[in-house]
Amino acid sequence: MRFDIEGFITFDTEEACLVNLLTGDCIELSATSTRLLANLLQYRGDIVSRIEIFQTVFEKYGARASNSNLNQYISTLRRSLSDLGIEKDVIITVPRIGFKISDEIIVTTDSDYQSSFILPAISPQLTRNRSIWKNRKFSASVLFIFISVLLFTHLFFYKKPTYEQTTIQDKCSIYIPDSMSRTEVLSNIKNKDLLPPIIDCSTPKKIYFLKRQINSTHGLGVYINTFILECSFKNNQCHSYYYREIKNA
Amino acid sequence: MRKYLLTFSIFVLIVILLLFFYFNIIDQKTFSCESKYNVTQYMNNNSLLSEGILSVELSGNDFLINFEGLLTSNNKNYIISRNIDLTLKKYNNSNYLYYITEMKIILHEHDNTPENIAQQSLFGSLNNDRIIYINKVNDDTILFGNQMLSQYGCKRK
Repeated sequence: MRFDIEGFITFDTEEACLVNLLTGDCIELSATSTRLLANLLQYRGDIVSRIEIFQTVFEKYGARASNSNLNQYISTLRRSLSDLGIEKDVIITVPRIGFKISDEIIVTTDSDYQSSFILPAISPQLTRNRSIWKNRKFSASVLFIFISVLLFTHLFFYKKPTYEQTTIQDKCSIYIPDSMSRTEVLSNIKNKDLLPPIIDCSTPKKIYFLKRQINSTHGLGVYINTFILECSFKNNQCHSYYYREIKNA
Repeated sequence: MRKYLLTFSIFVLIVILLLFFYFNIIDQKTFSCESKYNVTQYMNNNSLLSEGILSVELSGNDFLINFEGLLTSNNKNYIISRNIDLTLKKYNNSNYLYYITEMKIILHEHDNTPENIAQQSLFGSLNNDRIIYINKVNDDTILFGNQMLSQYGCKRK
């Protein structure tokens, strides 16, 4: 069985050695030290009592079990781990009970070796970052789709106005269709022969103007359709004028 | 992932519903307007002059126009006082053209304008042209006419 301690120390129970993966340094352990460390690492997080250690590490293998003997092996293991570069106390003494592997020490075994011995220290932050990134991507996608839907509906439902404001004459805002020119509109509005009232632009007004005229090149006659809607801001009233003249020559 | 899909689906559904309500309910609220009008027509040797006040009620597919005014045709004077109630249907997905599926003309007591004269400037029952032009140029102004272009316009009351 293999244990990885703090990401850079490997302890192989069959090889009976501690190896620093960064430097390549190796410390060979005695059979008893190997069993002791393996036993503690196997029950990492839990307190292993002296009595249990006596039975499983010493007596089971015919070795002499005593507190001083155990303390000496523990001391050897601590020194070995320290020599390989681990600054933390790996083995904690629990007074009058036994020993345990410190909770601050990260230990992985064969079974979870695939997940790499570096990942555990960094993965929580990575996971959080990935989660944030994922959420950002999702939010951006939602926003993009929302804007697309709005644009699509706008394009789909948008009605191009037939009347665009093209000119301002004094205080009148004049709206005319795209097909008409500004000069044509102004000349028509000032033409008192065409429509009885001349549009008075001394007060603010909105004017909607439309004219259709056929200029017969063959002298067939006259065809004129003219429409004006004059809306005054002053009294909030509108007046529509419609002039139609159709005459054969 | 399923949670995101569910949230996204609900979100899209809400957007679609809001758009549906906007375009089918808010957009079809009743529009009422009123204005003065002048009509001058010269058709060969026939002349027609008319002036008065018109009011309009537009609600969904119902279009109600009220004309109150005076009319002179070939030196004969008439009074116009009538409601024209139209039921409309969009004409070929056009933005401004509607087909008149039903028309009711309600003549008021003093209306003495002959139908053949009225139809020259209004929507008469003898008129076979069942297409009406209605253009909502903005939220408070509409233009309409029976010649596929504006003849009358009015502003929201």
